[in-house]
Amino acid sequence: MSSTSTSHNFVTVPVSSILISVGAHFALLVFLLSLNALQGLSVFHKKDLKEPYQSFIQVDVVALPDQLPNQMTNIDMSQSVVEKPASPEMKTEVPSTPADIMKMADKNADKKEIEKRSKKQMAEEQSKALKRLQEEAKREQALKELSAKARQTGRARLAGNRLSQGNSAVGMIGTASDQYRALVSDAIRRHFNIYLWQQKKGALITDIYLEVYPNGRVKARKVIKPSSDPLFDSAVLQAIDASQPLPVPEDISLLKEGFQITFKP
Amino acid sequence: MKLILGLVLFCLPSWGTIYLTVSGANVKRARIAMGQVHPIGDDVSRDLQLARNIREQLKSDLLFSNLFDFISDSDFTKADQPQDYNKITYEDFSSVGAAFALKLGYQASGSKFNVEAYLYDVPGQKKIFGKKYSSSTQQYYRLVHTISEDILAELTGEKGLFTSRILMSCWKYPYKNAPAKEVYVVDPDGRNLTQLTFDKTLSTSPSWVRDNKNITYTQYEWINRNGLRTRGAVLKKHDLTTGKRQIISSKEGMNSGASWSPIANQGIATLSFTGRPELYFISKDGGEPEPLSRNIQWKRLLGNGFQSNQTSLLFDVESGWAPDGKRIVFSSARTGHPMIYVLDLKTKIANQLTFAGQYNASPSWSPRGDKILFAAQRTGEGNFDVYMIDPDGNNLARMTAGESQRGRRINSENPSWAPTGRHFAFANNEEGHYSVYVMTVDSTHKTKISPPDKECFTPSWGPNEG
Repeated sequence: MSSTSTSHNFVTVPVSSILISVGAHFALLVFLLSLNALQGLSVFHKKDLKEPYQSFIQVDVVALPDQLPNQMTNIDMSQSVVEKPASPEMKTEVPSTPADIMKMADKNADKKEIEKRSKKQMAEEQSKALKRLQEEAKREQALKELSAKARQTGRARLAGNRLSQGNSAVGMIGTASDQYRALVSDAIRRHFNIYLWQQKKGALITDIYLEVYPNGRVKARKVIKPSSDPLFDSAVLQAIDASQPLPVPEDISLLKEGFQITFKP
Repeated sequence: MKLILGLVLFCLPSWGTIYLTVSGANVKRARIAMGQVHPIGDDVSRDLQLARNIREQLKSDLLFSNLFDFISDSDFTKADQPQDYNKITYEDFSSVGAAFALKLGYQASGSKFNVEAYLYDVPGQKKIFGKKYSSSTQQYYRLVHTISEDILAELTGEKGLFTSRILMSCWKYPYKNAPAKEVYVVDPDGRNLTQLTFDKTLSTSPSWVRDNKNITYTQYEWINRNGLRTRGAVLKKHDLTTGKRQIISSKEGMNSGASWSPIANQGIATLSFTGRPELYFISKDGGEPEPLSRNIQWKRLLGNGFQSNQTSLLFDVESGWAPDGKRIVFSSARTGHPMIYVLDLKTKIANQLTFAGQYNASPSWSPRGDKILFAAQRTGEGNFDVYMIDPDGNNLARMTAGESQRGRRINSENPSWAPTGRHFAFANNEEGHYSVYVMTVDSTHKTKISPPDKECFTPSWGPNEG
């Protein structure tokens, strides 16, 4: 009796259930991916690390010998990395300025090997290496500045599963558009101040049209639909003005058609 | 399929106009710079005491509203010279962080005086209003209430905090023997106490009929019922403009706790002529009451006495109207303990709103519609405190913190909303006897409004033109 009823149930599983199952699996996948991303996030944002892109720099240091094959045999960087890969001392040795990099190269160089070479060759190679190191450091510096800028402007960084810190978008999963919208909305909300009596849900709604320059400054703003309270409307405009420069997306062409923003208490 | 298609569309990178919603603003009190009350012109007699009184009263009104923070006077002395009482330089006020500036001037002549008040929106650089008020010097506080009312109405759109009145039932304190309880009316700041009844009997649970002139209350008196002279609790209507009174219900037992619809000539009262207190529709013109309790369909009932037939548990009392006039809130004991219920008057379906505590009573529905206040006793030996809850049962919050110590209970009872929905009145016995207090909804300000020589109960805050 029970077996027939079971098979009966099995046969009559509706198509919608399968769809729900597919959907649920998709959602689970998204959830797991996001969990992974969030874990990555927590690593990058450890408070005790002053350098926000620590892992990137560690990778660069390991790759340094590849770019200077001549000194590869002499400066055995990989050896020291293997010996104490995760120790805090290693982290403190991570070079962040050209001077640091040079200092580190000096320390690790096999002096006997170097003495065997002619001084001319040495100088040539050294200047060449120095140049490359400097270029590398320059590139790194530029990268750092870029990321700092991204943090300042609150731009969403999708590479490396990172989001900018310190806003409600952290930990959000969604499309680039979602994340960008959350960033803008958060940036404005921080400056959106209203009075106690304006805190009536559903009573006050103001729609604003907004155009933004690629540098985040406001190009044009106007009230499309005012609320019943002129003071609320002016609080809205003050919030927009005060939140300049607004975050800008990676692809600034997306700013072309402007924003339509609905403000509620 | 739709789900997957939706997800795919959702992920497409085409943006177009970027649509956003910004909400969850930072909410704060408005910083207001209130100027001195300067004499207007040179040829009028100056009444410095009056000027000081006006300013003190205005400040106390605006503080009472709980919507403003005052900027220190010394921060803008230069910007508030007597000759500038009706002018403003916005920069002088924006530099001290003022959101609003209020400039004032007065003229006194004999027993009459004028006040000019100018309210400015400082960041918006706009004059909000400039008005001239005239009154007799004795009633200066009424004039100030009108200014305060105008400021609040202009900014918040709400009316009635200073011009509404509160009914209460009081007897002499300290008293000897059985005292008489009379009905009084008082301004929300405790001024202007007026006795309305002089019947030397018990006059209780007063309430406002929403026609701006009538009130009702229950009075114990001798009545002639079926040829017999008996003493009973009758429901009376009292016309405040003419003083005329009329009994609107004098059935056997109790005729009590009337509350009146904000939109229609209809009230609900508790009558007990069937042997148990039940709710009935009543009219302010009298007439046969229409049963309400017995037509109710009960939903979501939880408790020991559920479906009880015990007469003692089947009472429905103390109704309060929602501002839309379509629902009421009341107290019923049918689950074992008195709990609060919300009743849809059209469908007659009642939903249980509270499930906790020993005794929940005397609910009052906010004129804004979003909150319900009630008094609740947590345990059998405990005291009553005022609590607030959303009409859907969410956000239960305690508003007062009384205590029960050594057999003495500090109770807060009978909450009644102000017409603006930012304050409420309630009765409290923290001084040993009951007094009526007015409190802000955020529990930050509490003011006693009943006189020290009276013990007062059951406040009922009137509608804005009350």
